[in-house]
Amino acid sequence: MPGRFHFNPQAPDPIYRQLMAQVRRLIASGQLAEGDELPTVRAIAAAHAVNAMTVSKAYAMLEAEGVLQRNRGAAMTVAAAGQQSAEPQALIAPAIAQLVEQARQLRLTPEQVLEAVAAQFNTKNSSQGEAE
Amino acid sequence: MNAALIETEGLTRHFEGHGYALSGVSLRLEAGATLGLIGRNGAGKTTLIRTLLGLSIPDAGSVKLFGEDARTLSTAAKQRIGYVPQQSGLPGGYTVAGMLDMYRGWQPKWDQAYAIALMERLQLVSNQRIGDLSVGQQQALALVLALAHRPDLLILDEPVAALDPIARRTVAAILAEQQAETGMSMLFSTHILSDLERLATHVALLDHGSLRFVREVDALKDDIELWRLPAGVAVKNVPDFPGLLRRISEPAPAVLVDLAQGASREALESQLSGALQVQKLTLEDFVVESLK
Repeated sequence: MPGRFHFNPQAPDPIYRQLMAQVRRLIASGQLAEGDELPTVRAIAAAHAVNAMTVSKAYAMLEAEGVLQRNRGAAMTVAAAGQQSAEPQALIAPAIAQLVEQARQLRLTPEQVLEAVAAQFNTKNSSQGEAE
Repeated sequence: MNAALIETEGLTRHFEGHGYALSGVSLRLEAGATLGLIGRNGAGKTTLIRTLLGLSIPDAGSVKLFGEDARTLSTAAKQRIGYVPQQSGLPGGYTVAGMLDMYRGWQPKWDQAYAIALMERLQLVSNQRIGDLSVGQQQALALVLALAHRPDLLILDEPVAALDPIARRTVAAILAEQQAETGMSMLFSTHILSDLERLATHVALLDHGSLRFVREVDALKDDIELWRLPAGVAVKNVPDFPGLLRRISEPAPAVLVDLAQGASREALESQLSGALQVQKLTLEDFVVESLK
């Protein structure tokens, strides 16, 4: 279980945020469900040779967001609200942020981008329709 | 109140004819924190470490370990420290087991079962003569000797420089486990930034004997950005603004900024009337930029 995670210390994202993102993805993809236990801080620190405080920090932030639940003397578990916070909207937000960033650089207006996004949806829908 | 594990104030040391080895170095290491010390060769890392341990006497300034003056450290405080020097300097005629026995006699809190477990993980064999070990194996043995009494503070000078990648990962895992189990604090010098990013909570950059910065690793990664300038804008035309760290002209015009010091992209974009391209920096990129 601790081996489910992967950290790249050289990525621009700090390790605690890499862990937070991976926990959210595991929940979104159904690999972790409400009530499932997470590996202990010590297990992750030992398996991946990362500082335990970094792991604790990621868990604490996920707890504050309501994704994880701390249980007295037992492992952290996925909270009921965890499943909701892994909603599709939340997961697509980084991709949208990137799109907006690129649109800004190309000096496109929000209207132009929305139009292009809608057009892309239509192409996808009609091609899926044909396939069915 | 709990004293910081390490607290230095204005540490200064001259090198004859070579200017400063250390110049006004003030830093603190709190319980539970791990500080990675980086800097080019000759920046003063080893001198700083030796000065912290009282092995090198500063010309000015003070060092406190666990709140005690480092020059007159009590035996009890010394037993809370583990130290792995750059060159292990272990006597070549001894066997690995003989060396373990010697340390066992010195350290009241020595945990022999733990020492043997570490030895096995690092593939050290007890009847090997130290003189027959590779430099990397000697470094691994020095680590076992520094860890087996479960120190509160571990100080390592280039701990993994001579180790192969597999041994390096084993050492990092051993250190991470000890951090998790006992809350051990560390200070280590390194050139290998990926080790640092795995284990360190803080990073300090030493440059010609002076501390350029001490920061939290996570905050550094979150707050430092490189902004590429809009086409046609020269670096020299960028006005000063809060959070500007450096103007960079090569390979492409850009500015290095610190969001924590109030750098505002919107403000600069409106001043330059053009969009900036944001690039997140790795720690390595940042260090290279800082030392240019």
